[in-house]
Amino acid sequence: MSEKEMVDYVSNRNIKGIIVGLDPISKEIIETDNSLEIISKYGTGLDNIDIKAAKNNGVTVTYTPGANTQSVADLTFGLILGVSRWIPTHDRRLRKGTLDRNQGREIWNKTLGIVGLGQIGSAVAKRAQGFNMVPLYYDLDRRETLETALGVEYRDFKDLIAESDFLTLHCPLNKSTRNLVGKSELTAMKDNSILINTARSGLIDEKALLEALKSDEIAGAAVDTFESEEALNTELFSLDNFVGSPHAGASTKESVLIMANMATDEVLNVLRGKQPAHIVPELCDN
Amino acid sequence: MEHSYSIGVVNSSTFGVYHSDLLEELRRFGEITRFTVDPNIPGDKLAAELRGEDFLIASVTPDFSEEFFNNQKDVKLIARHGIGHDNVDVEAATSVGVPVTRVLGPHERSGVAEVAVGLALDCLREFTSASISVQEGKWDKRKEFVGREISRAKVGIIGYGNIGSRVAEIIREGFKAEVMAYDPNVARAVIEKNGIQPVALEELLRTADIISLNASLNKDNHQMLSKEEFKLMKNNVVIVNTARGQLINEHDLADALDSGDVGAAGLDVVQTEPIEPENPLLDRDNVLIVPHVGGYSDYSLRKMDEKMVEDIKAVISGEIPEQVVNPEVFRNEDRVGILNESSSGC
Repeated sequence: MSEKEMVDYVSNRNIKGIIVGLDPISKEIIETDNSLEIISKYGTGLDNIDIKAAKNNGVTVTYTPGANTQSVADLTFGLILGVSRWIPTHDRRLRKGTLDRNQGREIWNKTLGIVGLGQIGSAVAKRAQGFNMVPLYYDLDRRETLETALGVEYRDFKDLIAESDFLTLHCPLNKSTRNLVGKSELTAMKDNSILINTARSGLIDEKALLEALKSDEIAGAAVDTFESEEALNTELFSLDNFVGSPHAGASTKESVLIMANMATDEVLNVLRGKQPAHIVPELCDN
Repeated sequence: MEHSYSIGVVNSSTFGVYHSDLLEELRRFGEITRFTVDPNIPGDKLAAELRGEDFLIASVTPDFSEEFFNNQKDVKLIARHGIGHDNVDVEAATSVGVPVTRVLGPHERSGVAEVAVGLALDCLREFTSASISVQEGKWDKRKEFVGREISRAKVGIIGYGNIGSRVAEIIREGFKAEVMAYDPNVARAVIEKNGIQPVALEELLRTADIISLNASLNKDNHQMLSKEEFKLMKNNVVIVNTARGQLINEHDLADALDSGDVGAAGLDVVQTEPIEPENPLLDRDNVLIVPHVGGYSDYSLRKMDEKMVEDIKAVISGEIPEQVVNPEVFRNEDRVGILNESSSGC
């Protein structure tokens, strides 16, 4: 839904609660009528919601942290293997009657760089153990307990991108992480490395990624989220060393069920005057 | 000065392609010639093609038959650039004192197992199909791609050998899923020790959400998954085959996919390779096929190429290479004579 469609939909309906996925909830929507009490985000990424406006209007915003953790971590590894062994590329070629094979990369013993060791980053690190990869991470803060529990080592961001054979992003999108991986980072990555993004699209400069893939600056990439889902960069999709999935990280039966229950419960909590379980952190601060 | 030998690379499109340093090393011992012959070439014609070659690096084709060995007297080693050696008449090779070697299992262990896990994840999450639909401009089709988490699935491994045990380990350790294995040739204790549940085949077929075939082909397991077995399985089961295409009856699998008895299949191997255009599994929404790429990876190919060079060096220096299929040739005292004879043309 576009912002306009959303405004039209919400206006004059006396809506008390909205359960929302990826569609925009702007200031205008929040201020459309005074009835709104809760925006319940079905998911974890909050960049489509104007949280400041919600706060100013006394609207509670909740989300469903952890519901999609396993699903996103599974897809991350699916995409890692898919790109490194050229599974979509080989499958597509075979359907067209072409039998050419590309040499794949095994992942055991290779270095996995995890940007953001939150719930999903940690779930990815756990899976890396099963594959006998060497997991490293970067985060704003050292997470020493997790380092021991997951067998991951800390690197600063610069070292992480230079050392990783696979670099996977699991941090939120905000002012300081926008275009986290741009031209200079792609240049600093190893020539034979692979970039994975199952987090937010703005973390990668898509144009720079296209150039890096075309000039073999990195070996491959798999991306689940895009700057504009309406106007996809079709050239990116035409490359053999790129896999693009349609924001499917949380799309599993298990995750959908957990998220639906959590998101519905939060609306009911607020309407019944109870304390919601997961108010977004930005509203907890003060 | 070192004796110069002739080294023939037969029908291998990969040996030395990615690792030219190994080709250079091999050239110190002689001249390398690449041969591309008809996969069905008769033995006598093959012998004529390969006349004068001392060492042969052999692919999955052609057949090195008794007729070949009776007509090509120069060969001192057949090194299979792979594990299976069903295209070499080992008995005939032994009778003329020619050792046949193959690559080591561990070289392909993770390479193949990772493709098996990759195919399983792709069948569960459909990222290949989804990426094709996005490429075709159908972003909104994303709503249809609701997958399943592997950690909540029951995974059944058929064949708990070199590769099956690694698939089990990755899924158990990495995804914490419940894993069971069927292998009549492996002791229960060996399977249990790794936290895997040993089960009878029927139980595996009835209860698994994902079935991974990791058995080597023998006379008893040809088309072990056919109509009856597919009927036993849970609806929506995912089948992954990175072993041999002959383990599955492909027409029955196609029927089972049509009827919904099987949910999806991820195949690295098919009955006839390269795949024939009339294969009933080709170009379906719920079937992924890749062209036998399990061992086609950086580590595997490097190790396989290294093994070829090591084998040739070993035979030249009178040592016994690793993984000789017919070790009895080295017990024959006459063999020393073969090595000391000057090669043809000298």
